[in-house]
Amino acid sequence: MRATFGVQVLVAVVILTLVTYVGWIVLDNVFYRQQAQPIAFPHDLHAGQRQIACQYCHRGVNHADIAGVPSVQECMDCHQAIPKLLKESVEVQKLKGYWDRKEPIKWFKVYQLPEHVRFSHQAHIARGFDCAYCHGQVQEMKVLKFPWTSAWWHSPGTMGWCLQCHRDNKGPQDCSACHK
Amino acid sequence: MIVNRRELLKVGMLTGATAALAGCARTSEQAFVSEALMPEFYLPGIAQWYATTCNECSAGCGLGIRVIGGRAKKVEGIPTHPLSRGGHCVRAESALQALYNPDRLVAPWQGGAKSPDADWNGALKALTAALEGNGPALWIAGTLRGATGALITEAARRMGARIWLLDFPGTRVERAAARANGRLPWLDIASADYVVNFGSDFLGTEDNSVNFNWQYGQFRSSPTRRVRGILVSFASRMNLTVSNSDRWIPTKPGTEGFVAAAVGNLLASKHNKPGMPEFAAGITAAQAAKKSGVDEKWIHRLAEKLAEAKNPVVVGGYDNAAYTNGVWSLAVINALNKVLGGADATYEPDLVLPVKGVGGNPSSLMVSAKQALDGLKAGTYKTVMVSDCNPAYQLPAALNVGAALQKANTIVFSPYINETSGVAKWTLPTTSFLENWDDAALDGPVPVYGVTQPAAVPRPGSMQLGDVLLLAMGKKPAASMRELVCGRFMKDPNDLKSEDRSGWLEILERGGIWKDASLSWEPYPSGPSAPPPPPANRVTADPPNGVSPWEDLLAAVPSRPEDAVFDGSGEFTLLPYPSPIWEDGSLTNRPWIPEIPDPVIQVNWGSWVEINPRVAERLDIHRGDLVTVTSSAGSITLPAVPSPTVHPQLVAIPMGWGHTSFGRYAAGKGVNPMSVVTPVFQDETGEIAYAATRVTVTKTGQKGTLISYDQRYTSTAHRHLEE
Repeated sequence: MRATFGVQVLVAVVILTLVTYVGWIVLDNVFYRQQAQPIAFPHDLHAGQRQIACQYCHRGVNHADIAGVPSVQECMDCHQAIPKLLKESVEVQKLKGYWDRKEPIKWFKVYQLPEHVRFSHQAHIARGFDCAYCHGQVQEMKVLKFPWTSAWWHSPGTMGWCLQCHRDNKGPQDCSACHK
Repeated sequence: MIVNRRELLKVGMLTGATAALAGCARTSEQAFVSEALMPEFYLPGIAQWYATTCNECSAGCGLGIRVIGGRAKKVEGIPTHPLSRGGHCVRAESALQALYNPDRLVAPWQGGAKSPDADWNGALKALTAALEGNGPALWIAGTLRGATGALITEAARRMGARIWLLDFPGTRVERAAARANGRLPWLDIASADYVVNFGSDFLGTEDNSVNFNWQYGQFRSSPTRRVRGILVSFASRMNLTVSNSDRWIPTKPGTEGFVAAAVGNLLASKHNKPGMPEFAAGITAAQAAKKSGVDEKWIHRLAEKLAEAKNPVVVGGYDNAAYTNGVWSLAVINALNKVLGGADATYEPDLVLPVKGVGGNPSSLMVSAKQALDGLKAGTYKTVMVSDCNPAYQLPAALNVGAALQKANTIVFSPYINETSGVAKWTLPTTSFLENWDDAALDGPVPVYGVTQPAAVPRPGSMQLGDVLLLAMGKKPAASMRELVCGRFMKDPNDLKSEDRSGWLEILERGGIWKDASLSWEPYPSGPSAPPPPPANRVTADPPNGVSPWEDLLAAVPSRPEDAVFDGSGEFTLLPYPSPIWEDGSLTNRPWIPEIPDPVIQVNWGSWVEINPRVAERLDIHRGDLVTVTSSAGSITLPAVPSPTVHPQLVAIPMGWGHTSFGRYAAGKGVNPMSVVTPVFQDETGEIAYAATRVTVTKTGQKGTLISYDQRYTSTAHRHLEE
């Protein structure tokens, strides 16, 4: 029995949706989202328990587009003053290893925007937005995760989410405001 | 193989699905890096600016280098710098491509080739042994100034070497003609109302062109004087400056001095302005007109105009210095300037700055081109050091300098492999000035003591020339160039270690020390767009007393008028000229440079020969025709450009192309006019007279490749003109 044209189109749409889903969500998570960091840095300990301000390490947020990560030297500035951790913590020993070798740490980037998007931390912080508004409750995360919501297509970092926020807060809404 | 429809659909769907999967996945960079060490003030994405002093020529303009993430990204001028006043030239702009050039050496080369056994230990051992002195030696230096100049002088003194300053072509002649201890006349074009140019390209190739461009702007449209200055040129070739003239009177090659002498004598006899020296006496307007081919009325008119002008200035340059009578011509031009009341001031951009007694005065060590080349030819020099120049390329091929260097123990300091390093025993990789610590002083009406500070970390495997010499000399008088330069700017070196280093930091922010009150010209326009004033003069140290390497250069100006002498019997005089963009070829390995068309001829990516259109018509030579230029030294074949920019007796070829070993960007482009230049020396200076060669031009019957920004001559518009 030959399928009608409508069924063929339906099958094609379903296949295309499946392919897109597999490519966009599954592969993306398998290959790009689940990598372990070279050092298991606990944000919950630093930003939560110790209440260290985000800007203490991410110095660029108030001044530049890029928030930036601290240098190994800056990490060691604090950690060399805590000998107990240097002796006992495997992760801190990893950090010291990088410092001793004067080797840069290549982190896996969790909050990644597409290359065609222009984003300025400075502009958003200057408007009074809290870091958690986009990044989620980092101070509660042992392992940093992207703040996906159940409606993944409307999570922070997606275009719909950005645009809605710009509408709500009267931010610029022309294409070139965000797209290169 | 027969593929049925079902299989085709299967394969098609599989391919589509794979493509869709690959396309949906994110492929962008998902890593970022915590640097091991990061400067305290560094913020990602925010540019840092480092003020430094340009080393691309001896002018010493102030540059601001924009650095992001530790990488130098852009070169700009420093608006508060009293000399360059916010400007910079194309040579400085392309300095980044010297810094990031993929052909830079990352390890010493031995025996003219890359060698797995060659390393810095071996190279330094060879250098240290050479510095101990093993017989007569020669140091061929492209530049000799600042702290590095002092260290070269000290090294040369230790090894008993003579120094040959293989500077910009014609430099020695211009200095000899100036006769003020080798100092150059400071031309106040900004406040002039009438300028006569006898062959200088002060807007393009001559030293200090950035300042001259600013002065030219003032000269043409001074907002205070409200008088537009007039520029008239008497020259055999239209260079960039001549092309900006109100009127160009073409002269026969090498005869500009006669026009200047006749004008000077007319000023004395008819306009009550005596003072022309004896060596210019007796030349009448009629004689000068006959020699130069200039209509006599122009000579009379020029004398009248100069007599009427309030602030006239007369300029000479390379196009005079390149002839055998260059010293006489330039001396006459300088004398004419003096008669007119201009050029009282002199300046010296090439000051060697001795360090704690080290270095001293290099002028007693200096030799001329003739002395150095005679010694090389005779095999007198057992050791030859080469820094910042490429003698095996930039000198006439007939001199066979490469073979002479190959016989000696030659050590080359260069960031790249070039023709000279190919024949050297050792090539030591040096750095770009954007990675260096150094200083430079300009003594003149606008005294500047500039600091060169690194804007980028030195490329691994390379070392600054000054640091190499300090290592080879046992880290004396300082452990490093940084320590040496920092210490020199501070009255008390301990200040550098103190908490309050504001004086030193201020010098670094400004790019040097200068006294703002010394500015002789108009200040910046006021208003919101005006740059902020320079910080208060919290100068920590006075500039050191510099010495000029040219102090002992006392040229005897001929006692009577001298005709230019030429070698060969060809119909044309050959003028090989340095370009305002790629100079004598030392910049053609930077990819931006070949892209930039010559500002007058509008050709890029190679060589050409300029020939007068009337002559070209007679010889049936059209634009782009391959012609052979032949002299007694050899011949070269290159495309012709019939152009009204040259005198009918002259053909002109730009220097700088035809490299055989200078990296990927210079390879395979053009020909080197030095292949046909015959080595004729000037009697007074021992300098090579680059325009003393007679050549013939013959058509090959083939078409060459001529890449031109300006296609007017080959476009349909031109055909319409012909019709």
